[in-house]
Amino acid sequence: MAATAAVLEGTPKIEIRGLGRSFNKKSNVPGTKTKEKFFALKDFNLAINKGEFVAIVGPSGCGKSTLLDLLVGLSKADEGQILIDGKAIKGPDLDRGIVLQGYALFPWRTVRRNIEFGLEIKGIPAKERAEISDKFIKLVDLVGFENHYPYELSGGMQQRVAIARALAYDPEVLLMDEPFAAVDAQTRETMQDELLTIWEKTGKTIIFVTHSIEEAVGLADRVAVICRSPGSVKEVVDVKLPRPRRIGDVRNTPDFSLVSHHVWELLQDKAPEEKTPRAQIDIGEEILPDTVI
Amino acid sequence: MKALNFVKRFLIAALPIIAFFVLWQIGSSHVPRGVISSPEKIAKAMWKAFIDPEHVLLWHTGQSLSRILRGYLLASVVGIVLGFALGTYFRSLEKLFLPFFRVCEKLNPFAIIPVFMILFGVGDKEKIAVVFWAAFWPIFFNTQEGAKSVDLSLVRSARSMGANRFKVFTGVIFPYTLPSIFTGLRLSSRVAFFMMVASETLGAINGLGWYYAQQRIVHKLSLIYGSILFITVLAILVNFLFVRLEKHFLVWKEAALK
Ligand SMILES: Nc1ncnc2c1ncn2[C@@H]1O[C@H](COP(=O)(O)OP(=O)(O)O)[C@@H](O)[C@H]1O
Ligand SMILES: [Mg+2]
Repeated sequence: MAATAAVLEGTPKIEIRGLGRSFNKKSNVPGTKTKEKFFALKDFNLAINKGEFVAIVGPSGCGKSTLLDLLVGLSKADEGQILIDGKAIKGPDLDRGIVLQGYALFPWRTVRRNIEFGLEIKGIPAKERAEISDKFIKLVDLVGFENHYPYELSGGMQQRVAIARALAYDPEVLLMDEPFAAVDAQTRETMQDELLTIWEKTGKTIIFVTHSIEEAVGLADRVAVICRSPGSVKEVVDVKLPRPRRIGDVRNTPDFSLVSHHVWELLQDKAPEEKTPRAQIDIGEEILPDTVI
Repeated sequence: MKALNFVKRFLIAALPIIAFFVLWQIGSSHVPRGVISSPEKIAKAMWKAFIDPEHVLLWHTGQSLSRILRGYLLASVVGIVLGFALGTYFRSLEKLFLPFFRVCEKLNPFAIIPVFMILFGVGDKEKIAVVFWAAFWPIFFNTQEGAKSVDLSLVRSARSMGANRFKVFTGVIFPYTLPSIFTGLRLSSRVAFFMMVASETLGAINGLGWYYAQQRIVHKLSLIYGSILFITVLAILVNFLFVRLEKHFLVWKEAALK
């Protein structure tokens, strides 16, 4: 569908230009505050086309969640700007939906009412809300669980609700922060394939944050590799695997291994002052697919 | 099957209570007269008080309940509003007020009664103030702590969908705090009840506490014990009401805890 790999032409859907975000450094003495700043993101540039599936991969603490916060509009950048359709974003809006790290479902709302939250804010009347939520309950395969509360669902099902909730108010851009990190391996693969199907059906622009190389390469059109301190794009890797794609079908192909290995190398290539031994690099369990070497 | 289970559980729970009354009944005939009354006499006396054509007991009960309700409602409104204020948008004032509030909470409520009598004069106002004082703290502190601990990822989630401050409050902070508010309301309903009776025994012209004090003056043993039991039963009923309300409104919480 809209899944043709990236050739940047015209105005990109999202353009991140020279983005910088700093925080106050945490003090070593508890209870006191330092005025010292550090940049979690600095000089971050990335352009994303409409309908593209871009994965952002990097070690934990490299500023991935910070970037998504800025993309949603939950926090403000110190430097640079983010343009959507050529316009600078001002705050959260319904043109972007996010699936936050850890689902963040409302425990007092049933599946249906969780999905309808954004629709309520949009001021959509109850009857129409029900029709829309029905549609998305079907899409994420939760028929029969409409009136369940989150605690009654498995991790994978909760994740589906979070995805449906973010999709229900029909944002053009879907942001996802390590959505499958907390589910077991088998569920993860099912969910990854489901996400691909949803993307193929809806044609959304997706920015998918992960620390798993396999996941990034398996899902995305392009993989933006982020390096640590301060976080910025090291390289954007094109993934020229066929579409429509199923993770299980591409995982063992030579192309997949090549791209994965390249991404892996980029992640190993650390800044000189950092002497983190290989084994301690927090980059998920799948540092290197077995097929490479 | 379910109903049978319920009856079984009920009987098991009721057994010690029944045993207590039976022992009391037996024991009362072996104790010198004028010290304790027997359950049988109490039941008879209370029954008479209930069907009394002038409704003396019921009228006094009504007086107490109406005062409790007024003081309690006032405490709920002020406690919940202040709790939310100091738990959310005015968190910066927390450091200023909370230590002082903690001291106030620790004041012995019984010691407060005479002070309120001087401040408000003996009467409805004073009684309502006593109930308010006792009921306010649990509601306030529970609301404040609940609102303070709101899950920030839920707030972020709501804000990412374009929720404004009002919707963040009604859609996230309020429902998140509801269980804590209920805890506060339940705790203070008990305190309110007992403080009212206490304040009425100290100085009043009507109410359940007054009724009880009257029975003491005329040394009507069966009614002294009777009104104590009656007050206890009322308190249990109120507690039961709260348990039901919680079950009804906090399905997601009740079930999540099991
Ligand atoms: N609100 C904050 N205050 C201070 N430091 C923060 C804050 N949010 C994130 N950071 C810091 O910024 C860096 C990037 O964090 P984050 O974006 O969460 O990384 P990632 O999602 O890639 O694991 C980390 O060093 C983190 O400690
Ligand atoms: Mg993160």
